[in-house]
Amino acid sequence: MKEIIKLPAWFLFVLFPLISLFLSCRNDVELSFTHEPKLCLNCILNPDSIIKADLSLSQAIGDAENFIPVVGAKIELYENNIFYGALSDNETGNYSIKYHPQYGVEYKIRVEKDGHPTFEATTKVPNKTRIESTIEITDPKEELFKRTVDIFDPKGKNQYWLYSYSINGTQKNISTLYANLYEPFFDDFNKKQETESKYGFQYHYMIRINDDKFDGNILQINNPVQRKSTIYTDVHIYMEVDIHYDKHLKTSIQALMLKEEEIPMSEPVQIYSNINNGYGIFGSCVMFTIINYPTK
Amino acid sequence: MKIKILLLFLYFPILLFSQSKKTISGFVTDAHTGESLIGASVFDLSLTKGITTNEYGFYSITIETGNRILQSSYVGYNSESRKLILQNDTVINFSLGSSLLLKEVDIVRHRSEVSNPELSGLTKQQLNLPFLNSMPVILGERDLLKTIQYLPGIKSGKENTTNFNVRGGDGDQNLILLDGVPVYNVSHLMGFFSIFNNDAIKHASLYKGGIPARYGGRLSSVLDVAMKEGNLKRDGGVFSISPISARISFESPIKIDTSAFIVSYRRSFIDLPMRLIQAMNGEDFKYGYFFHDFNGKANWKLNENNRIYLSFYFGKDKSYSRRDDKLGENKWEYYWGNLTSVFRWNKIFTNNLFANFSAYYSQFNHTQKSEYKTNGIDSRYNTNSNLKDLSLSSDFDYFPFSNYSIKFGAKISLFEFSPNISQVRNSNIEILPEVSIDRQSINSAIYIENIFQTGKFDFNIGSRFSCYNVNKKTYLSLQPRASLKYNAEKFSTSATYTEMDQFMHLLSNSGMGMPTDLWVASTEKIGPQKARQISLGISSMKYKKLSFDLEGYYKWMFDVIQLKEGTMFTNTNNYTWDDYVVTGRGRAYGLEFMTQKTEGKYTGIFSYTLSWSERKFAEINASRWFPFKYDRRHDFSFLAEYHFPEKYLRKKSISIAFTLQSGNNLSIPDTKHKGFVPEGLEGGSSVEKWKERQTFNEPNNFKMPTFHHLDIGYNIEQKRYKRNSITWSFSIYNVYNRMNPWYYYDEGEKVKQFSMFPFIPSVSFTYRW
Repeated sequence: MKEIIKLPAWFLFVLFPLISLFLSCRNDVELSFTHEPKLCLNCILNPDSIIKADLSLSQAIGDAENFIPVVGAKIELYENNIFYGALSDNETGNYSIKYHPQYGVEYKIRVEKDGHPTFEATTKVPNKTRIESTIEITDPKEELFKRTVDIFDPKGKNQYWLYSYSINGTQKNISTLYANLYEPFFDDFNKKQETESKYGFQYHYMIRINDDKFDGNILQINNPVQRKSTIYTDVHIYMEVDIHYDKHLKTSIQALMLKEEEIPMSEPVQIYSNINNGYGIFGSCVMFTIINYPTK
Repeated sequence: MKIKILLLFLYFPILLFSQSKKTISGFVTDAHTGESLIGASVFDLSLTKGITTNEYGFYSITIETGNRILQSSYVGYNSESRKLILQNDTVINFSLGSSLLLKEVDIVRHRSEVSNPELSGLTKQQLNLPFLNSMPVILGERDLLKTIQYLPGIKSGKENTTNFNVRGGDGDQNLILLDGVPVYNVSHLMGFFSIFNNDAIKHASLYKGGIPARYGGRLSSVLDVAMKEGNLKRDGGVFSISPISARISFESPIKIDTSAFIVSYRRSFIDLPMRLIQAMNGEDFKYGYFFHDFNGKANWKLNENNRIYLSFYFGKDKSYSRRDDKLGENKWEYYWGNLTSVFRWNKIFTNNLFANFSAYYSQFNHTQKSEYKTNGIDSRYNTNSNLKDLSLSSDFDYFPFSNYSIKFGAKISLFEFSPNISQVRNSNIEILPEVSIDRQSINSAIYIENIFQTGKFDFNIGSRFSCYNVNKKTYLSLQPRASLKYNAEKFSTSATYTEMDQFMHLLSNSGMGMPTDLWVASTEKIGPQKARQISLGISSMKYKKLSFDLEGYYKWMFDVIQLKEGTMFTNTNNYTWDDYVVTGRGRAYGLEFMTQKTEGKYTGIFSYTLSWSERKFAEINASRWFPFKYDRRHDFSFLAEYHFPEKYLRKKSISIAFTLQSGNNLSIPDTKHKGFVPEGLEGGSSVEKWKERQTFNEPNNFKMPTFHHLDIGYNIEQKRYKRNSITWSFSIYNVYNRMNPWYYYDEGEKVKQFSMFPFIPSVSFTYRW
């Protein structure tokens, strides 16, 4: 069944006889790009954590070296456009300040480093949206349960993401495919056909929840009936993000998927950054974690 | 107030009364075939006033009474003169015989011998087919859409595909008309060959700017192709065979000088050896591909004032596979194609009012079907996409004075789209197409052109008003057009201003002319694309058989569309295509130069284009301008032919074609940087993927290597008896085996270049009778 529906298969089918017909040639090529290293800042504000930032240099795509950390930079934090303080440099490219960002507050970061243009970026930490999780034990004997999550979406544009991982002792497995979940407010940008899955498709890496057509409603996510596992602890993370982190995540996943594509037929993706003259992201998020097991 | 004056000027031109003038009208035709000649000149030698024939070979000239000498001429034909004493309105038909002495080549620009004299030779390029038929080609297949890519301002999409880009526009911004009917998919074999069968083409014109108001619906160009009407004098035909396909055309009068028909058929045969090999090997798995097309046209002269035409085109590509073995049965087929049919009625109301009424239907369809049977499981999957265009139009040519004529008309089109309708059925599920997803829209338009030809000045001022309705949304558009040409003794200068809109969009990932490229129409969410273009040019009159043209242009584009980043359109079955696109702006500007020699033993064209084309979208590249993927800075082309002296009814010629262009642009990740790992994913199995991001600084950051190839052709035409001839055409494509990249792809950590067309010799054979 899979072979029938997946379109790239027939593309190959048509393409390859023609290719052989024209005695085509394939050559290894070395693409030469001149690369000027630029600053890359990664800093996501989360009210549950102190503020940490990572500063490094970008590299040419073929560069085998590790990323070079940038030390000695001056990084300032502004809250509602008022200077709050400078992040301390731990000389490994990591910078931090012992402060928990506040819900609904706008922050600005300013980065100065000799030899690089100074840049500023802003983010507004989302307000804490009400998210509730309920469990229905569908078969106590078989230890089957069903979890429902309600996001009480406030009016206005909000962006949510869902991802998960499981832990078995010290081993952590990160889910990269979501084949048993589907709600009409899921963004299908990372949805790919998979005829053997429950809905005929699956989401890759994460699920983006889009309130465009459901603004102000309760967004209910119905997880499938599951059996309690005695081996794994299943963790679901619901995350509300600001607009910059949302774009950055979406384009990062698109770029990952594009790299994994077998046929170069998708539109190219430039990873979103709100760092002028540089790369990375200055964004914010609010997290809601669910341990996906019923308590006895 | 100014607008009212402008409208008055455009739509209600001042009519001047004159005394003692009479009208001469009629048709100019080919003496041997009876085919009407488009753009032939009819000139009053004593008054030095003239006019050119319209799309149906009709002319009308109103001049002073008295002794007159009227001469008709057309490139490649002997001129014909008539003396008369003009006292009343008169009908004079000219039948011009082919000239044995003149060997006219390609793009004609002689002021008195072309239609649209207000346009420069670079703004409107009139393609003559003899040249097309002697150029070197790949695999013996002559192709109109590939040959025009040698002209300045026209860039090829990918090597050897029929997709072309005009003055920085996208491939879907070209209106391609076959007998006045828009053709939506113009290619066979994934874009390697066009649907146009050269043996059935009579005439082709390409407008890159100064597009007259009678045309509308695309931003960048109009390619108007007219099929032959059928020989009114005698029967005849052409048979051709190349390594890819064979084609045959036959034309004949039904009643001599009154009615005629022409039919032509072409089929590829690359599937035939594949079938043979599969049968010989007894393979369970059978597969193949072929295309075929059919053109038919008939016309009847009902009387002096009425003539009707019926044209039909059908083309189809099909790819298929079938496996039937112990494991089960697996069938798959995929086919796509166009169907167009048009009925036209030419009506001469008075000797200075000519009308054409048309009704046409154009359809593009692609369908994929698969069926899988094994172990009692029966699965089927169908997907279908359909575009239907049903239109009615009327066009009038009114010739009130010798130096002034008006073209006006109206058109209404009904479009129906059924994009990507999927049907899945197996033992678990059955998904049927929804009934309500067909989308309909209506486009109506009126236009007027005021054409003045004063000798020193030629100009065409007009406007097109269009109304597009989709559901409850209406888009209105007024598109002024103006072309002005000043003719000095040794040179001419021209200027044009054009506004266009386009409510049809092509969604394409590849730009190759793939069947999955989807034509869609504007919706409530995505409105029409718009463009404004100005051009300024200077042209020399012929000097030592050489002519020179230089023209600059600037084009602004608004609401152009592009698929969103990461979209793979073929992978979506969602018919709400407007969720997958972004709209933005475009700008293109450049300078074109062309010199050509059209007479003598040596003929040829040299052209050079220097151009820029950029795009800007709010959602892409942080709303900054970036180069368009077909932004090719330099484009140099050279076509030349040498005609050997004719001996014993044998003609020989050798031709060369060379092109050198800056490469296309691609978006290839060239930068990597540290990535932020979302909280909770640290230390996990796939964390390495999150630790690094690969991106590019701006879209289309990588310029492919310079594209160039040299081709050589050699033609021998041997006449036999009076009417028959055979022609052998030998071609070598890419003489020095340049490996031009077709695309790049990743294979592991390596980047590979894929080249499609190395050194390719070919031969084709043509028999005419």
